Amino acid sequence: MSQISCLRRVALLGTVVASVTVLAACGGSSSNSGKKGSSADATATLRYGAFQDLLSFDPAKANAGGDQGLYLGMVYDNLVTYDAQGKLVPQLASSFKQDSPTHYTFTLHTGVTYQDGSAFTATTVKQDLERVIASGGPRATLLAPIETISAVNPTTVTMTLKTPSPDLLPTLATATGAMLSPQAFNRSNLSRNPDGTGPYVYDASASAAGDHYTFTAKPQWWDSANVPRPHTVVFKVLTDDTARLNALKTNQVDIATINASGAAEAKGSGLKVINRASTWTGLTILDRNGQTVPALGSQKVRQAMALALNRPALVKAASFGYGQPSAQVFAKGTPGYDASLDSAYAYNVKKAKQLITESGFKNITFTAPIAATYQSLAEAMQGQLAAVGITMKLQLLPTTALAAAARTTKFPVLTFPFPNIQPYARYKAIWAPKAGFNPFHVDDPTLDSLTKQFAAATTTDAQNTAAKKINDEVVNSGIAIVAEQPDDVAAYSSKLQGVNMSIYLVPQLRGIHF
Amino acid sequence: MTRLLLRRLAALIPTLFVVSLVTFALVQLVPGNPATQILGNDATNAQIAQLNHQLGVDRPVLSQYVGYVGHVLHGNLGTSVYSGQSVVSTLAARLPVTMSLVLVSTILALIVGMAVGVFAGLRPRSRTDSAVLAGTSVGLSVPGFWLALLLVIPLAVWVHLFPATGYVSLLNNPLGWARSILLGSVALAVVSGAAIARQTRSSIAEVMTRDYIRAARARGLSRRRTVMKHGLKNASIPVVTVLGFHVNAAISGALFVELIFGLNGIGSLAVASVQQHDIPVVQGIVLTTASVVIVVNLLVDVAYGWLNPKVRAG
Repeated sequence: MSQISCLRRVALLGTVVASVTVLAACGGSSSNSGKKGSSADATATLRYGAFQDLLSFDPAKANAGGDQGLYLGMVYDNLVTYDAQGKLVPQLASSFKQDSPTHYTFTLHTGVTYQDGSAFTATTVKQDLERVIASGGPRATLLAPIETISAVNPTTVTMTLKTPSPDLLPTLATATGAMLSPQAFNRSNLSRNPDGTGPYVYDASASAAGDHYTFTAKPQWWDSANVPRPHTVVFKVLTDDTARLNALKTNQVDIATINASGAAEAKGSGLKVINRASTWTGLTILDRNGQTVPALGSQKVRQAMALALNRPALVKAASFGYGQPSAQVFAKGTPGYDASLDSAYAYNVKKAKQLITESGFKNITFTAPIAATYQSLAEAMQGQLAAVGITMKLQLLPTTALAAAARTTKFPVLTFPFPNIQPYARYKAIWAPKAGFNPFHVDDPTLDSLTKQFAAATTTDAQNTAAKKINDEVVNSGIAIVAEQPDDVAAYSSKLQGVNMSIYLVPQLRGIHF
Repeated sequence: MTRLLLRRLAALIPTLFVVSLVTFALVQLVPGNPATQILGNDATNAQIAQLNHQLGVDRPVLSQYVGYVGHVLHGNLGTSVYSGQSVVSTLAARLPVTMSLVLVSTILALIVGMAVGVFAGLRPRSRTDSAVLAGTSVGLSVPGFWLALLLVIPLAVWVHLFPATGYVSLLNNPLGWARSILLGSVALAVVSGAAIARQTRSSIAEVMTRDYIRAARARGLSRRRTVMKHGLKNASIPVVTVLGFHVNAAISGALFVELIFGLNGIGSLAVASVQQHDIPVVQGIVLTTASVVIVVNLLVDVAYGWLNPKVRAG
């Protein structure tokens, strides 16, 4: 008896330790046009296979990425949003304009009401954004450049910034800019009890936390004449790639993001597949001045690394053919895209070796951190770099630890995807002297100057020109060695229409109909 | 028996304390922090530091732990640093899924394992016995997650006998509940069922040669009653031990099964919480599962006492 009890206690401790240890180890789009709301099947239910659980309906606390924007997009509208081509367009604002680098004017739609019946006006916009700023929450700093918000009249809002900030409009298009009714500001359960102007109302009684979330169409939604919508939308939380694909194949969900490796299987099951490259990935040089690995301070070495990459082969091997074999950091159709850079650094081992010889560096060796998600691409790049005499050692980290490790000087090179849009946000995140992913605090006066030009531009043409120069600079200097722009892939039932991929790795649910 | 129960219940408190301490220490070893997960890659280092400060995760580890224990002693498991939801409500939503898998897999393993074991044990060294031994050897060596993948493709994806993903509440739809967890439960039950079958087979084969069995038969008791009344009870002690191990293994194994079948239980929550550095939720999960395991062990001890009077005397 005592032996058995002892064994069981050991087993208990072993189970706990083993469980925690195992857990710790875990750590060219196609586009379909929609149709007017009146002609769609408004009685249908759309079932979306979400890869993330809902975090919070509170815009001040919500995370902008992945599925979180979709959850909030059910119940909230924003002043501006991104269309299917990745272009900023008005939403609750009927129009907007940038009067100067630090002044914006928004004209609002009339007749818009929140779920509680109160009217959406310039005053509520001001109250809403000031609440997020005052919250001190994780989203507050995104709106920090705003100096004043003025409700000029019920349908006109102006914003004056302390300094030029091209981030403002993109931020207003995310969860942070979701318009919450002032009457809901003091709700104790706001994270699960939203109140917006959006097309749906959250139905808590038909939802189960962590499993599924149900939304029913809001009567008399202001944009219902223009945007078709099913009567009900159900988010089913399916965090595993295989489970989502199985749910699609067995008609348990109508649409979900899938791994590119499952795209062929999805097509074989009669599902449609849509894809869009939302990121660029490859080798981001952190030690740009060669403080720990002197060779990385040499432009010739960095350019040799870029020439050593066989991009079509990488897209085939690591992304199952779903990706763009491009050497640039921005997406087609977005500010900064430069068509000539798609074919830059064409695979050329001979030229790469020649550049290394000219640089005078020999036995170039460095270590890059990787996560299991990006392992196949990193190992493929490792092999191609080895062919030109560069040794890239890989250190496997838990996915969640990778971003934190990249903010230290431990690693001179990073293998990590970054969004292929919003030049100013990329500069602030990667290349600015105090950027999180610039742990060596390298100051690049050329990039600093180009980004200032971008921030000061007030017209689309001027912004495009400045952003293109940023793209050219980071690619030609070799500090961003792009291997590919991998596609994010979604599969969906052939019954659905109006399906497009968003810029946030997931499909755009708004506009989908049967 | 009462003293035994009281002793076991008293041992629960220090055990949970040690478990929570070990878990807290292990989670601290996982690189990363919650703010980098919440804010994303565009956040500046200052923003990350500010949020970590707001969340209190930049305090000394000991201070964090003492604060946590203080809350637990007041019956408060805290709130998720990621979603802001209370840990109790988060666990309450997930626990029925995992406990359904554990319970149904236990029942399946017990019924099928014992039936097969008795059947083979009454026919030692026969062809049936050999077939059972061979079959259970295979059952013991099949990983649960692999079996889950094997089951889901033909039975759910090809032939829609069962749903491929998703959980249905028992209260809402009992039949739907059974269909939603049966394949996962089978995947969890196979290894334990095979172990129970082998234990039962050996015990029955050995017990049936004892004098008291022959005496019972000589008194005119039927073979069936002899097996049920005298054989099975005495053969059950090692089976109860296996059952205790099964519950521990099923809670761990549920992690993989939940992912494969898209069942949002404690296992999938644990994976997400560790990745997000959501320490209150991880602690809540470990305390809950450890409590379940301890209670199961207690029930096993009680069962020993019921099956074997010598244990009660001791």
